Amino acid sequence: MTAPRRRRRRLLLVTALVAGGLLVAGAAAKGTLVYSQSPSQVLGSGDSRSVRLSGTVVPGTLVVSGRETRFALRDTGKPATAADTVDVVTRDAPPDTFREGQGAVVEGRLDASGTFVASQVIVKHSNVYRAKPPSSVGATTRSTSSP
Amino acid sequence: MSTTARTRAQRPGRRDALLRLGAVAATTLAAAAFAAAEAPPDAVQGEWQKLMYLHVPAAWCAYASFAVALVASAAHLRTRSLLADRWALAATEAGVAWTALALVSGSIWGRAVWGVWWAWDPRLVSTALLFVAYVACLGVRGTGSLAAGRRRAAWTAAGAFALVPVVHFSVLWWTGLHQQATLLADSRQVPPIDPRMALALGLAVVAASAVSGAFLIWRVGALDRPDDEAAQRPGGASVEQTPSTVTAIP
Repeated sequence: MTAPRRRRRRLLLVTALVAGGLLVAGAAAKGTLVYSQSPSQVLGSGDSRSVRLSGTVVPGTLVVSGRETRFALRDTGKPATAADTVDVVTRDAPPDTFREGQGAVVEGRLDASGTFVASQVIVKHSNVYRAKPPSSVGATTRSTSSP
Repeated sequence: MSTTARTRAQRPGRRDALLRLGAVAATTLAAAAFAAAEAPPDAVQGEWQKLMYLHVPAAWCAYASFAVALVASAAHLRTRSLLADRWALAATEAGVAWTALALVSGSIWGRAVWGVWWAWDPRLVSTALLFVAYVACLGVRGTGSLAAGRRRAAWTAAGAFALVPVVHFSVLWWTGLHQQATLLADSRQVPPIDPRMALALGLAVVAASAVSGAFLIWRVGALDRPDDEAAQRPGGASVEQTPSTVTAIP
């Protein structure tokens, strides 16, 4: 490899790295480097673009009728208020791990009536790991349960 | 197994270390497997949670391997030591394999619990970048002369290590789908994990570390054959003989 060619290649590499870094920094500054937003952020903005919302499924709101699933999603870590709770409707069957009171991420958009129409529901689980109660363990996987 | 008199004289302690670490790896692997089987299934995730005993050790060993690669690369850049370069190469290979295992096991776990194989979550994206960066590190080794390849690999390994803290803290810096750490969580909180699960996880981390360490010692020894230093790169001697075909590609 000749010297000018090597220099040109090195210049190309450095330019690509700097451009990539600037792109990431720019995206971070504009706030587009987020995976998801909270319900209150989207409710306040009146934005009807497709977004991802992450929050907690409000206990007592889950209703499954036919292929349709409805539930309310609120900001995680705050008591539920009207300003940060959004009604979600979806035809995407949530995974088996979907529970009231647990985290969930929904992808979709707000419709004119303020209901969030989700094309996908993803379960977001916490970093808490507890044993399944012995009674349900014995019924499904094991005949003996530890004390 | 036959070793030449020369290698035995060069590295008298290597076989002993390998045997000892291999014994530790086998013992802890058996203990970890037993503890993982005995640990209760998770209240929410059920048996799928047991993928944790593979996923978390894989991620930990990837971090540790890249730390070894960083130190060895810095040593190679300072002293041009070939031994340091062998450690850097072996550690990079191990790290890439562990990262791949973390990505694959995480993807399966994600499908089972989150409902998706992949998400554009900061932890997932940064881990994928980490994988690509260290694959590139293995790749640049084959460019230019052997010495230049070694130096480029060392610079790449050193630079790519900047991604390790990004991967680890991504779950704190950005909101995402991936849960935050449990064992390395904030020390002011009680670790929210069943003690039997924590025991299985701890044993699995020790076992994987021992496996990784044994691999490093074996691999460094295997790379340390005086007659074929070109074997350090795929294609080895043939690539070295025909550099024109390599440089002509771009």
